[in-house]
Amino acid sequence: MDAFNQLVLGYQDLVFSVILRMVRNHATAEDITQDAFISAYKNIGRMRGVNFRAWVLRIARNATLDAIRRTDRRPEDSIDDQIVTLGETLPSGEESPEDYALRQDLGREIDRGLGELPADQRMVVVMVDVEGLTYDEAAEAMEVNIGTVKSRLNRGRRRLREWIVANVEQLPPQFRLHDVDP
Amino acid sequence: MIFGLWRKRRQEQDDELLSAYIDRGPGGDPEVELPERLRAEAQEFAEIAALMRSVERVPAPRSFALTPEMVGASESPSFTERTGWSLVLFRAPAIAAAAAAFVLGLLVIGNIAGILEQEKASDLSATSATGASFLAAQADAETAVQDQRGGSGSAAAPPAAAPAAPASGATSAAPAEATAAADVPTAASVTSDASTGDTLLAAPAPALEAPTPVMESAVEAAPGSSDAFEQAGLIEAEGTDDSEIPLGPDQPPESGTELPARSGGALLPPDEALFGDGESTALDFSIGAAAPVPDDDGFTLPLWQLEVAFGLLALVLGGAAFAMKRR
Repeated sequence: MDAFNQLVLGYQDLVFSVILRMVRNHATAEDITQDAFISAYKNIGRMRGVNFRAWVLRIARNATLDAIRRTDRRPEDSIDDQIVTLGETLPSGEESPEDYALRQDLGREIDRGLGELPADQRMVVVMVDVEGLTYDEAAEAMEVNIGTVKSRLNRGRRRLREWIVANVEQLPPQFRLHDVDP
Repeated sequence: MIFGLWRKRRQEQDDELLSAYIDRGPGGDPEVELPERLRAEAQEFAEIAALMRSVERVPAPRSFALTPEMVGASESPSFTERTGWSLVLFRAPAIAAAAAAFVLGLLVIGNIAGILEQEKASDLSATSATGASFLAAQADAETAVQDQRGGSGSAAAPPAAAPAAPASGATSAAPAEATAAADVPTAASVTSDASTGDTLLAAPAPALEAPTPVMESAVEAAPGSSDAFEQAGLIEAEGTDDSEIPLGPDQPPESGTELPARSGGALLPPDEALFGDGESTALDFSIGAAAPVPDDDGFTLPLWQLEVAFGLLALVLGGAAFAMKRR
């Protein structure tokens, strides 16, 4: 278990971040993250020929989609209605207060835009664009082929562009898209 | 439909181009030739991707390291982690299922090859309850006959059959009763050697009940009685009475005594009249249907019942083994 916990400590930020951007609720994200690691530990024998990052994200994705489906069946508990504070991190020592505030605004706006995407597109945008997974890893984590990953990614980007165009005034000036006519 | 396929194919090509362009960063991949219609969109996608990459990863609020309490309560060793007796017990259903399937295979192959035969329903009902007692009684009867032959010499003929004993009584006789009835080897065939006059028991006979008074009266009334023989003139009347033709256990025949041949209730002439000197004939003293015995062609078993039973057993045990492995 100690060796497995080394993996947990190495990947818990990634897993929690992906789950949080999907479910948009801290308590739910913590529960799902813990369950995902327990499930990964119990099923570690089935991990064959797959890198651990993609494999644990696959477990996290399945647990997340289950949680979203459960929430969809109980609209009164909708996590989208709860307060979402995703990007609030502590300022670094080199960062000015203005930059820190700007970064927080950006994170908040992008998370709002991500919240507008369907779950499958949101998942692939978070994995590839936000967390930097390769197409292969994203395909393994989502149990689809690479073409599907690229297709979902571009559809998600297209939707995000539309959302940004509609909400361009809310973005910090340096992050506004070029040549976008509102 | 064709237009839909063409549009889908074109969308896939666009996705490939856009992905290749964006993967090199906001500036795009200069080696990727983008169509004019995609350039503006590719530029926007590249900027969106850069925007997404600027989003910080949200750190975990706490450690998610596992503790034994988290996994210990519901943890059980996996199928591959078990060893020794634990592994044997865990695999017991699978082993039993394999054994049941093996027996089922043997039954089917034996049936196809003709080694095993399906038992008839009537035989099954008669023998299913007392199959073991039947075999024991048969062994006892054979032993008793051999003892009797040993006591009276090889030339002594065994007692003749007492007719008209019900077959069901034969199969339901207890071993103790069979021992008592072994003095009456009623069934089957007695070989009469015409050249020597000896009468030998050709095959072990299943034990039958001792004749009841009703049976004995039926014997006297039967056309095979000595009076009928005399009237038909088939054997000499002088010096031949019931005491010389043994019909019961208390009247063992003397050596050289001729037995009346009887088949299907019809009287037959003595051996010499039918076959001449030196020929042997088997005299059938069977009294009704005998209990099923293994014949030369194969063993009689309730085949389809056994096949169904072992098939179901294999299925149930296999399902249990699969379920245990899945857990």
